[in-house]
Amino acid sequence: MKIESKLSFNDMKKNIKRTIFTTISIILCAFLILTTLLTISSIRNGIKESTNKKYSDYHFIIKNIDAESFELIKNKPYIDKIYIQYKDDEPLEELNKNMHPFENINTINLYIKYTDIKKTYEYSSNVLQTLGFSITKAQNDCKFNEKLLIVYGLMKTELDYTDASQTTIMYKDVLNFSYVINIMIILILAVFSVLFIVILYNAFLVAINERRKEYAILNSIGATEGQILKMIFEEATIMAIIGFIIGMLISIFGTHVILNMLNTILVPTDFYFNLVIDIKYIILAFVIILFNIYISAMIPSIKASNTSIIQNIRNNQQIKYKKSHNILRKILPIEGRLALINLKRNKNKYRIVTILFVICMTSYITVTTYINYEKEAAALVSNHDVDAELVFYPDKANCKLLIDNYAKQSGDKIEYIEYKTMGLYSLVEPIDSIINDNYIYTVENNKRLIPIELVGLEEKEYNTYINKINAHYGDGIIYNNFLASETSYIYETRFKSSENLKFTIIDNTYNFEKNMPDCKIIDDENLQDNFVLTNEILEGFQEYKTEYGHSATIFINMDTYNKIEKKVKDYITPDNIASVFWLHNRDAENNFPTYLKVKCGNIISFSHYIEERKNPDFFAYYYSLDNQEKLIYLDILQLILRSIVTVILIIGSVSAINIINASIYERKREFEILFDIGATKENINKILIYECIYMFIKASMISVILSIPIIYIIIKQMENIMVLNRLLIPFEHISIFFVLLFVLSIFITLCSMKSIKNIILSYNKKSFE
Amino acid sequence: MKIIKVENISKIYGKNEAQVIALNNISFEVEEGEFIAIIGPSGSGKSTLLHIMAGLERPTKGEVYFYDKNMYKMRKKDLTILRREKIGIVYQFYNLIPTLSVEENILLPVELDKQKIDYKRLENIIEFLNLTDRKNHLPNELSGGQQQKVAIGRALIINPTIILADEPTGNLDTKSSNEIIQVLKKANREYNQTIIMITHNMEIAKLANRIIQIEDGKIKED
Repeated sequence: MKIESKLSFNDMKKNIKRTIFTTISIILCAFLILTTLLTISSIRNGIKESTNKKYSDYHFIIKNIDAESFELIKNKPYIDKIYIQYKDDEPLEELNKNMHPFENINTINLYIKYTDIKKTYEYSSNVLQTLGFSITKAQNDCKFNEKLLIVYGLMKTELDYTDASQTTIMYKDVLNFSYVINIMIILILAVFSVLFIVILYNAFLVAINERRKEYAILNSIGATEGQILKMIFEEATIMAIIGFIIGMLISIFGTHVILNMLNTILVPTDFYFNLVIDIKYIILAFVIILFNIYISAMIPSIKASNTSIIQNIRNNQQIKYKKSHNILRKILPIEGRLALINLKRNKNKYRIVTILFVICMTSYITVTTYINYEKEAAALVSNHDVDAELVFYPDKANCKLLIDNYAKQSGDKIEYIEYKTMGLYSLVEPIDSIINDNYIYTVENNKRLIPIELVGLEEKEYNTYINKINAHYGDGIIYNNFLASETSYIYETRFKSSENLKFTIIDNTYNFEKNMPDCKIIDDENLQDNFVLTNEILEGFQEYKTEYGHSATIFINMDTYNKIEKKVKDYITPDNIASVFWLHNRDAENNFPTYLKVKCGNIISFSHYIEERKNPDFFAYYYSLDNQEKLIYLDILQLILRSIVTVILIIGSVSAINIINASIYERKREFEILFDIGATKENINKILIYECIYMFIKASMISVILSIPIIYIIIKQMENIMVLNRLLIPFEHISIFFVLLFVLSIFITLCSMKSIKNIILSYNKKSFE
Repeated sequence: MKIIKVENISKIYGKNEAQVIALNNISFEVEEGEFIAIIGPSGSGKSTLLHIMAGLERPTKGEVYFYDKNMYKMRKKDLTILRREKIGIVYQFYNLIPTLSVEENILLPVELDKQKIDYKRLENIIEFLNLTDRKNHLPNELSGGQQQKVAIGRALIINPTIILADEPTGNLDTKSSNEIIQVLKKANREYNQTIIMITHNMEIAKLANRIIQIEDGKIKED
């Protein structure tokens, strides 16, 4: 074995604790970087697979293409596959050699899959140019599989001419994020690199400082700086290889665990992530770790080599001493003062640990606060207190059956409210019952004309409402509170009293001679008495409370509603629709729809189920879908935050143990002197505890100070979305985190106390000799 | 033949009021085969002078020539190689590598120089130093005198042009001190080894064939 290798190996063996701690730091760095890269690559892969599966494996669609045009493009080298569709809504067939698509038909639809999805716009431009399409033809007959392209970062494109001659068209990138993920990865790797250098620099600084004398002796007897550096690099390489292999194995396991947790969170969605071990990421991670280790080892080596050989042999390192403040002398006991002095002397070494703790604390405080505010915003922003709404025509579609089938199939807890609604015009009497004149018009004989919204509730819901507000069966319930302003939460009351209140449904056709509506009566029987005014809204109809523009809303039982509906149906003609209704959803055959407000446990699963069975006979609105997806992303963000903070904390703790142990070794003589003059083990342990407490307090103070402006910015941003009347900083979570951190600090100190024990043992042995 | 020529060497530490003039314009020459003792009280600058001659510390002023080559105009790497190949250094506190055995410590300069190991020469040196039955021991298993012998062996193995010994007996008892001085004298006598030795002990200095007395950074007597 070469002498440099032998010396490296011997040094590693001699300082086995240091070697182990440094290797652990490398393991953690390898774990952090590999887990991040493997998680990203697995998620990317999973998203692509899910999207491919869901949105089919084609990129570009050309409709109504004839045989001649087909021949021009079918053999293009960048086309991977072609699917043929003979008619709209028919299934796709993959083109093969034996097919003659134009045998019985003049035009077909082509679904093209390219060899490189990222060049979709470029290839599609070439296709258009080959076919000689005009912009109009391209706009009408060509489409992209947008949902698939988005996953690859191709967000938006537009057709344009290639030059001023305006003869050739092409697709121009408007929004392309295909490079974003790669840039993100580079940024993450850059940030990690800086972090790793900071951590590993510390580890090597301690190791090299311990061996300064040995290196100086070697230098004095003829070892060149290059040979000494080679020794250090050999040691670093051995630790890098061992650390990386172990880190890699743990990270594969760790990534697997993280993906399982993600898959659990994402159960409502179509996404499922399998672990994908991409060898290029492993090589990349190893190169980065090795590079960082070499930089970390090189910097302290160069620093050490700049000190004179004799100074290093004599171990004369300048001790800068800063006098402590008088006030501290009065407050702190001697152990506290000694601890503070030592921290000041070794400020550079302890700085790294402080920085790591500050990063953890600040990240945790700010990101947890952000997540808290976003979750609150997600809850508040929604105007609806149901998850979805289905609108269907009972003669054509049976949405209730659809929902029941979904519930049976998925096991999801589902409830729905059935109702009908239409917006009509009505005369209101007595006129002095009206407080608020918004949307109220005065017509002939001083009568008041108002748009009303009639809501017919099924028996169950109607009974629930009348019980809620202590009304009687048969009463019409008037929701008397409405949002008067689009921009603020100011409510106004429509009616003063329900006494003798009457509504007469009319035709609002305008009479230009009279300069007012004719007010032909459609129904003057069914809304004539027994009304109750209320400010309370029935559960499920929250939007009546929060959306601007609702006029007088009257909730009635379905019998009454159906009677009015029949009268309206009998009255309306194609010419007077607009003057009878201000809100309706009739179909071409004059059928009136039924509405179902749906509450479900899993909106994402429900929306997918409905969308797969959708047809023109019903509509669906998914109110809580965005929020649910947002909440999932917030949960993922929280998971990522906790994972990163945990790893950084572990790295920080290992660094801290390393530094404190090295510091204890350096202060061995100091401790022996203290023992000589009567200090006990407890005194020395107290010094260590004080050091720990100071580090923790310093890190906490800095992190709180750093967090304040960030939290301020978060709150200011959130004020744009919601009215804030309380702070949503998760003090509880943050306090628990700080307590855990403090306990961790104490644990670090306890680990260091073992080194004191060894010093005491060697001191006692010396004393007895 | 002149091996080392020291010309107007000065070494100043610190600045302004805290300035310490360790060496003040010292000049002398060393011929081949000389055994020189440099003697002086504590703080006289003897160790500083030795370190400058060994290329371990740069003088503030003046030149040091090693066979007409100006040492401090050389590149750092070349100076280190010069030290490795031509200069043997013995320290007061031995400064052995604690994880290497006696044999490995002695061979260190040869292995650093990537030379082929002459095992016969090694055996001769170990025998010369009376360390045959200790050659596989680690430094912490040896007495002070034995450790210093190992340091001398490490200096001798490269067949140096000159050995520079900084208080080689400073940390030893009388018996061990005598042993070490005898080893150095023998090397000088039998192998015509040029030796410069620092000491504060006049009795030991008298065993050399030239004494240079230094006081307050200046040569008082040569």
